[in-house]
Amino acid sequence: MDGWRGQLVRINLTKGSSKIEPISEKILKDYLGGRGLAVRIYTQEVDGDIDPLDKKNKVVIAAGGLCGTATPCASIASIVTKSPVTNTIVCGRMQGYFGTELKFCGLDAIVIEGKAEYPVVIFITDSSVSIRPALQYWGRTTKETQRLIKAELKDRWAARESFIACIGPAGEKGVSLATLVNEDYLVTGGVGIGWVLGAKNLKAIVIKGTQDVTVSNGQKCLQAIFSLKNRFNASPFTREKLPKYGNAFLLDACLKRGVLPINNFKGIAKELNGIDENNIERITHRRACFSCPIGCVRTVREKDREIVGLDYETVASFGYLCGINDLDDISEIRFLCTEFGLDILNTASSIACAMELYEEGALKDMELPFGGKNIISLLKQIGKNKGLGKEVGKGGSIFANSLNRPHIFMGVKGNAIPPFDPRGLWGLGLHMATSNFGAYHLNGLTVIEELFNIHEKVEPFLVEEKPEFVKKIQDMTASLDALGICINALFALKVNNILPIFDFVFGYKIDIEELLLVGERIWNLERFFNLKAGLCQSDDTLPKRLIEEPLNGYTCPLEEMLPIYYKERGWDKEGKPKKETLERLGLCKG
Amino acid sequence: MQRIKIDPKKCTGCRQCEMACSLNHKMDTVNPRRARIRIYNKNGHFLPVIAGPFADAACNTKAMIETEFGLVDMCIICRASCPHKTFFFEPDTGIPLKCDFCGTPPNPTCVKVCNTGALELIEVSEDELF
Repeated sequence: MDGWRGQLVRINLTKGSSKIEPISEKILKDYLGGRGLAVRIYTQEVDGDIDPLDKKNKVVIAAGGLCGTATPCASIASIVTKSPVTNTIVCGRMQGYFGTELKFCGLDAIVIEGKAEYPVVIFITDSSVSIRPALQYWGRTTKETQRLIKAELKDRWAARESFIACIGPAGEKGVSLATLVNEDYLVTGGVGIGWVLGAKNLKAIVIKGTQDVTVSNGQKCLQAIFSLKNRFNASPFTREKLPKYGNAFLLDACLKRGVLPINNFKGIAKELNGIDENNIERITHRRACFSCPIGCVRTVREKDREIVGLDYETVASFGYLCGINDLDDISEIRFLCTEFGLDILNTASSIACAMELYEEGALKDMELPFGGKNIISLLKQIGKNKGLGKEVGKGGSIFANSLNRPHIFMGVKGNAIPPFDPRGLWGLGLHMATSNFGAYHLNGLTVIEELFNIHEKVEPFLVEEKPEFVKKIQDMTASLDALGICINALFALKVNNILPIFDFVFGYKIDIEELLLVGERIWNLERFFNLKAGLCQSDDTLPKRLIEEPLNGYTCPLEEMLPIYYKERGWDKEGKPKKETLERLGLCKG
Repeated sequence: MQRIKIDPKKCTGCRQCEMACSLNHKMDTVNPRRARIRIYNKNGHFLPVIAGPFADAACNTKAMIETEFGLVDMCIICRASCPHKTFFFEPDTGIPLKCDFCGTPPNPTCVKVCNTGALELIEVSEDELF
């Protein structure tokens, strides 16, 4: 099979066994890999009403369809499970080298089930799996764990080529905000995945592959890679802005549009507080994920450590939502989050929520004004699950509820809203309200069009047009996630630019409608699972502040957009997919 | 005479050169372990190394080199495939690999695919080489 490897490994932690299973070609063609494949496997095997921390819950990791085929920007693997925080299906984006390495192991997906009796590490080398005890790594921070695992591998050249995804102390101790750390990159979008893995007593997955990935037409593939490279060099975003500043250049654009929120969405920034793209460029270096010609990851290199990922999400959420105006502090915070394995957006939002509660006088345990220096000690407490950190670490939603102020938490379905103000970006507002993983922006980055109008002109405040536009972006992102292509590629490419290389890799042609149909299929499958998990229409909402308190004269008109959106998707008034929609997508049995 | 010039400071570690190299050398196959160029990660600094001649025995030099990235093991920068270091061996056959500049005249795919300028094809005279 060209492009795909056509098999998955099923690892049972209870029995300590593993089994290689084939994946049928039809499933691969219908779901393409990555998020699609992982969601399909997960929703087929797990019931919607399962307790996420139960040993019957599973975790599925799948490499994007185009990962490991030298397609530019194709490096994203997806990790899918039901999150204890949002109570919905969540999909974490694993950047870096993990997805491609999975392909070189001869696998498309890993399914992890059961619960180990004691902490374990999974070693995967070329489709052979061994499960070893991990007591010596339990309780260690992520960098320390990776160092120790690499030191223990006998062949040091093999150690260099092994890639490790592990959880930090936060995941082990059951902090809600915990996520997975993949090499030096934090897995975004998967809040609570660290907790699920911690509950399974799984500390780390070590992966090393030496097998071939075959493509349908190698020489044409190379030509397509060169022409895509030229396209990346033709766009000012991927030629200059992303390599130079990372996606932190969004700070400036958001400021100009008036959508850069400060102090837990209480207002918007009038000017940049010293956290700006030039300062970020000054202290950071450039790094890239596998196969990426852009290289937008900004890293701070210090003598004995490297802090990876000073991106927009980090600097805007800690720098503006929490008001920290020192870039050194923010890089320290990022470092601590990576060490403990904490989700950036949710940690920042929970802390911002705690800060607002402090300013309102509801929180007295710690001095926590916006921009206060105590944030670092609070972060350490969250990571160790101690003191006030134990409360904040339960997630902003539960924390604000426990102090009887649920409206202070800025999130949807328990997942925090990323630092873009939906009152100025209606499309993003609608997307976050309807997103299957709770508020999260990278599974529907409408911002690309709404802020920059790169591929199409979008009117900022037009209710009628938004639902169709949002649906298109959501489907497009879902199919890109399935292929493993990073969303940042959209700054230079249209989706139809990927179609030629798709043909040369997989050996069959697909057109743009079919590709979007795959995305729609994935989106509906996730929605269907969420409905079975007990979600209902009233969960498709935004926090009160964004709907009721106007900003520059605008609120987010969600109530007007939602019915149009449901209709556009082919769902009924309660947000349930209609039978004919499921039939059209070929989902009737599931 | 043309040679590939490496500037490790510009390398972002995307390893696209490895992918392109293997794609060009084995038909329709992508596998960085078959590549004749490899990228080493040294604390977040990336060092591209191009496969050189095969050595049938390991040397006994254990040198550490002081670079601006910190102390680097000489073995990492060494281009030779030797029995001690299994980086430039094909994983399934064990045949040592060597860079062939993708034919004559030199037309290296790794240089063509590199988007950062870390790899560059330059003209050098024979005197400059030694």
